[in-house]
Amino acid sequence: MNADDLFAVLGGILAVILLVFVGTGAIPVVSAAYTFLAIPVHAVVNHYRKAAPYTPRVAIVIPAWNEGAVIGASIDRLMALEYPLESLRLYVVDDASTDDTPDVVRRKAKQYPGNVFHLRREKGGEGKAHTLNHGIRVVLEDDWMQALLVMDADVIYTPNSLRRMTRHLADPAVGAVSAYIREGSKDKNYLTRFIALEYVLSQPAARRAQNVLGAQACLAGGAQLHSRENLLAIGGQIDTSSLAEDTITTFETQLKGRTVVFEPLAVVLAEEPGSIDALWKQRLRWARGNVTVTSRYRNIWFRPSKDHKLGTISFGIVWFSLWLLPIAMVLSSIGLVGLLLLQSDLATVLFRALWITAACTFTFTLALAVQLDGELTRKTWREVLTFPGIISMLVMLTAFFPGLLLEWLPSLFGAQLTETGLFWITLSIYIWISVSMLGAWLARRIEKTRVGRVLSPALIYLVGYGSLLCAITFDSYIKELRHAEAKWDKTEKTGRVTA
Amino acid sequence: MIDHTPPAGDPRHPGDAFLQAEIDENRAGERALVPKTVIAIAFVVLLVVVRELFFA
Repeated sequence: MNADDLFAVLGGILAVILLVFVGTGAIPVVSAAYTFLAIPVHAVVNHYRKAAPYTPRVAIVIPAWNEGAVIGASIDRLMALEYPLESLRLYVVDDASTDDTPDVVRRKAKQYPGNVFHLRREKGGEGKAHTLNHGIRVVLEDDWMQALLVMDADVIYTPNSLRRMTRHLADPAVGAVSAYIREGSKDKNYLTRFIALEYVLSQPAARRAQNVLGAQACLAGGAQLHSRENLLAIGGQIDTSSLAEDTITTFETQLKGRTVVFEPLAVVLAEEPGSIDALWKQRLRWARGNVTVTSRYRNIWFRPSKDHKLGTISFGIVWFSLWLLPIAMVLSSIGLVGLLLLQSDLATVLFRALWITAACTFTFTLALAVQLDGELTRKTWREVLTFPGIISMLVMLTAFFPGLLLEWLPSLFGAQLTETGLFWITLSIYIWISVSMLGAWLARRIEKTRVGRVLSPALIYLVGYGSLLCAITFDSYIKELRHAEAKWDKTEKTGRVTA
Repeated sequence: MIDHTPPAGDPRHPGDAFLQAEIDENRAGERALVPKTVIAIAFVVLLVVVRELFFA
């Protein structure tokens, strides 16, 4: 073999590797399309057939640390739920609060005797799971409780939400039920509107699909209803060893052979972070928790089982597509740039195939999502139109309508791109998906500066909310590799949520 | 999200008949997911048609 042949073989091998890299970028896109195509199946495959009128005795456990501003109103609203009062008990676990939380809860305990109980932890700050377990231990001391509702202090349960959750527990095969956590801040800003839209995509949309596929990834922390039998089966407590206690509880429920049901019509309103920094801390906690989950359950992935659906190929692809999305984005960019530098015609073909698939998937998922919660998405129309990011949308346009931006638009001004100019623009387009994460990182860095107050929102609209979430996931990889301390950062709540 | 469930007489104790009717109504409401999906797919088809007609 002479040198030319050797280079040809090496070039071929390199091209195949780059091809695989580009292909990884398609996996999350196809996974999202697959998930959303399962949603209409929920018209037939749902749990309503096995649901029945059922109002068990429900013990509600609320972890509370310095929630004095919101806890009183939360208790009043829970006591006003459309649910038999004699079947409701509310245990507020005061996690060594230093504000007036104890006084407020004691007053409410007097106002609702036999329904509201104040539990005090003198040593606090160990995290939500420890606080919940304090309450759960008390609740399990007698046989009164038939179902346990775990929630956050500041969320608002709509009046019919609890009874819409309990009806699924009439089926003994169901271990836990979750509700639709809806962003409910009364003074929404651009970020809470993006989060609101994200929650529509991830809950009434994606979790309906997970109902169909038979495996739920996570019970919402603010709305977890467990049967007593399920709670005892998973050890009678919430996992305290990680930052992902919600997901671990969800997995354990399903591994014990019980079903987890998402009820899209039980609506719970929650206050979500209004700044990138607060969102970053919250999601970093979630992302690092998911690293623990992925590692702890390494023996179930892609191993189908008769007892649960967590090991199915489809669930594995959905899980890893989200968890490894930033890596897929970077690999895809490397692949495209590599093929471009190799002067391979495949670069253009693959770029178009990838981004046209992405454009179709975005269009489909967003068009479906806006119909699933029309009331909310009418208020977030700007975020619907720019959800992928304005620049990513231009990239999609370039792929979808070749010639529109690179030939027709310049010709309107009597200009024409030179070959060098076209190369650099193509290169920029190919690396954009990775660079967008840097834009999101920059938005966080400058958020608290004077210029950042205007520039940060503009950057998020430009790079896309998805890129922000990917940047946070990327940060979680770095923190894990550095073995950075995993601490519980409570998301700051200010009582902005409104019914 | 449109909720067609009628208000119960006694919201705390609406009775099994009401609760069952609510379940049946919610179950029937899920059928709307099919036309909603068709509408969403129609948007994608429209994009593809425009591409094929004007940019192929």
